[in-house]
Amino acid sequence: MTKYACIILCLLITGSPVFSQAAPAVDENIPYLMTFGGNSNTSWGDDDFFQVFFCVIPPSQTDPFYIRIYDPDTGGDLDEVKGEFNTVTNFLIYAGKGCWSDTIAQVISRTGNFKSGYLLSSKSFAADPKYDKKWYSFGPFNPLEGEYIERLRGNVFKVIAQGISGDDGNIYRYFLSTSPVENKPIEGGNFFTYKYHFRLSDDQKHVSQIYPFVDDRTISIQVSNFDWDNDGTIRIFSVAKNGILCDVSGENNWVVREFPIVAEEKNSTIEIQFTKNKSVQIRNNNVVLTVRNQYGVALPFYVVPIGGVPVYSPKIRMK
Amino acid sequence: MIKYSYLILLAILFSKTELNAQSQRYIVQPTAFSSRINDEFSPVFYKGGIVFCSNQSNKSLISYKDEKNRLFKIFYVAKKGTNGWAYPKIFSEEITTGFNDGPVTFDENEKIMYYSRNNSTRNILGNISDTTNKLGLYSAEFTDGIWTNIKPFTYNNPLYTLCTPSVTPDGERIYFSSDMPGGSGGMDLYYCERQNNEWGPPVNLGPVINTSKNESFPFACRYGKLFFASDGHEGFGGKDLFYSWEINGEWMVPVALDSAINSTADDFGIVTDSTFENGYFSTNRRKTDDIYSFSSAPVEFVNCDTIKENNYCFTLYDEQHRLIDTVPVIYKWDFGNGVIRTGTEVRHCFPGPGDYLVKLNIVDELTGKTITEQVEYNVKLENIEQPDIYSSNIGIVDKSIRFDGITSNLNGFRIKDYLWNFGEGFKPGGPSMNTTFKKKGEYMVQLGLLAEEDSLGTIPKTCVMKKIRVYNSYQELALKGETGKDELNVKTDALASQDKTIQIRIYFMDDLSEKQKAKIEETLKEFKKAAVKFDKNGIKPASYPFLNKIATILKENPDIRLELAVIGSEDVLSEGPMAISAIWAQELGFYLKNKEIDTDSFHCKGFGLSYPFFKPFVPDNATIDGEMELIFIKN
Repeated sequence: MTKYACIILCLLITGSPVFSQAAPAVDENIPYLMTFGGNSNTSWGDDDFFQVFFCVIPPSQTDPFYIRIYDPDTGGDLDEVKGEFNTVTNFLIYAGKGCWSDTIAQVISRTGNFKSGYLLSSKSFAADPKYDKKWYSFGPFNPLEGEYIERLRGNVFKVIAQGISGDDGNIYRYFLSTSPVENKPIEGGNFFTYKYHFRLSDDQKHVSQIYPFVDDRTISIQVSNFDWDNDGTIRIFSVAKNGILCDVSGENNWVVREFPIVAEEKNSTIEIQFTKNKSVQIRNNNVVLTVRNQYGVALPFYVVPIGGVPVYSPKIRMK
Repeated sequence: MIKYSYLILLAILFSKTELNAQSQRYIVQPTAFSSRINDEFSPVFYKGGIVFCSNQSNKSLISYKDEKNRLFKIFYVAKKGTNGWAYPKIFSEEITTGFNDGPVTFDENEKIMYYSRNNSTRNILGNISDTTNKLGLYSAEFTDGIWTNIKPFTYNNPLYTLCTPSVTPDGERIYFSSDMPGGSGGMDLYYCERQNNEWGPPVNLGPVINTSKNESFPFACRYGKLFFASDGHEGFGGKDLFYSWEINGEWMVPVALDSAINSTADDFGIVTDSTFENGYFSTNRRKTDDIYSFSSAPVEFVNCDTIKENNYCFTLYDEQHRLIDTVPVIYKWDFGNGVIRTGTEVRHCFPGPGDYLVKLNIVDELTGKTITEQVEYNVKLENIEQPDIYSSNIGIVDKSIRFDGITSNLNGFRIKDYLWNFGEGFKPGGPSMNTTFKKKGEYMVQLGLLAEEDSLGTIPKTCVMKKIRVYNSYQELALKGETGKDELNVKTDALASQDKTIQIRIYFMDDLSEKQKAKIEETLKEFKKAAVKFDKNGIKPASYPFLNKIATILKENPDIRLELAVIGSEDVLSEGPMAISAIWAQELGFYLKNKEIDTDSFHCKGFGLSYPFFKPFVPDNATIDGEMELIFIKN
């Protein structure tokens, strides 16, 4: 059981109901998640060909629910082709004890048994026009099958997208739904991940953001980004940071920068904002981003920010 | 909306003014010529003696009809020796009537007297208790050894009383008491001003002075103090003596005189020397009206502080922003009245003490989105609690310098007496004083303040001091350069522009060496007839080059000091607590301070229109709004 993650979250999750269980969420302004095929070159933007998301189903949700995936196959207009589409992506749904609480499940590297818990459902997708720009629903799932975590105030399920083979990029997104045929949000549901693989918009005017939660043990954070490709700026906003610039990575490499966390930022969400390059248009930019605390423990990104979007609160002084 | 509240108490930045106490202020005793049988009151100084009113027997041919209502006459008593008195005698047979005469007041030369008496004196056998025979004011001239040419005052009226006159030392104003219609009730104090050798219409002193009861027996002292008696203001009981003074047409709240002078009986009819150290007053504390003398006990002040300057100019910043990297965000600070400053650190001069609301918006420069919207920041500015001497820091030998103590700010310290020390010990004076220094040098002017006696019978006191440098001569520097950037603009329509243009004059005092003068002249050689311009945001950038040169002079020449005096055509901002010249002065001082100049090297002060130093400033709305005197002296 991890010692650091998700402390205090329970208090914050019990706020006003949230309905946006898309991942990425609308407020993140990130169009899609991405996972490349297992034979891809990491220079396309995916460092490990895995995407691990967790979803939290609140105890109030007792009816079955569905995990829906938009455009799960790798083919068609949306996905990123390298030569011809040849990629297979496996989506796996895990539940039960250890699905989240097993420490290895929360680490960034994919070397251990991060597929903890028990497999509830899985399906592999290759290029299939049937799924192009369409939703596929996993489920129905009994919420009680998830791993109940008191601190998270809900039953946790794990969704893994794994690029099995091929070298194309699978571009997709998730939705937590009470319906298998349409997106009907679960009140109080949420997605979170410790390593965010996503596709940026091609629109140079777009500003995107993701929301890591900083617990009360954090005194500094290490923000790492992979394959940013000179696509503008990455900045940090919080109640105490009004847009600190992060170092940005180039082609096929990681860049890490550490930032102190002040008292006001503990137990709050910070915002990592992506502003596209205005002078040069970067298309199909795939990025991976992690945030770790001073111990190297990954902090969770919630698609619905815990406690809301942070608003910078200046400390005005006179001299 | 996020709200912050901050209290900037300037006062706490400094140690609180030390208050001391004085145990006894005045010593009083009845005069030898005051009897226990008769009444004597309303003394005035005359030819080394005292003129007063009394109902004592005058040994004249006029006899009293009613012993219970004896008539009052004007008497004179001369000094005899150092402490003695001669026997009182009728002051002037010529002005003595068969009715009530007095009290009296004299002009400074003692050639004209004003006095009150019953208006009708035709029937000396009439009933002296006849209330229809009102008192009026009369004047007489001293010609060929007698008081003659008796004239009634223009505003005498048989329907009401005018009495107890007191003419000011300059003879330009006469105070009196009257129950004329339109007052606050009972007897009120009025004054008339001399206009073309006539007295102008009576002016009621207003509700600060006059109450629904009786105010009378005014005495106009030198330095603007007006003493009077009242049974309407809160005092010790009966009639009490108070004083007040007029500043810019406003009367200050009356101050009751010392408990040694005032008593539970009636105390009235006072006369003092110019410093309120010695004098006489009237009282019936021994049942009959008597004249008492008073003299002040010596007052000493120790440990006088130097004056601390109030500061209303600050740099505002976001502490959190300072701790992190420079990021592309725009800080917009809204100071109200359309003043918006941009920057992560902004400098702003508030227009004096008060409560202000600053609103901050932070905009992301990259996205144009607002990061933080309308954070409100409350600023409360208070003046330093201290006695204050408001004056120029420099002077010229034999040229009068004005010193003001009225700007003193002492909460809970109700100032009763101003005592000034211009090098010859503390002497009582008024809130404002003029003095001249006879020799070149540095003088430490001190102001001591005494408060009203407290419940323990002690008199709180405090003092402050200020260094004045006095010079024999000065010379004005004529700028001869070519640069027209800061040149005076002739404003064709003053209303068309909110800009304010301050003309600059540069002076060298006589302690500057030729080398120092040459350095200043060399640094400013490119300028001609310079001016500094202001708008609602403060100093206009066009004026920076000239001010930067001034900063350069001070920075590179620590042996040179600048005294910067601003004289403004608009004395007071309609919406602000400070004179506009003071606001301009603090803007200039703040500008120089931010050029990292040692604050001991310069001093900026605004003087309104009241303190022309070298040349009187005549407001001319078509061209300039004020004048700035840059006075360079040796540091």
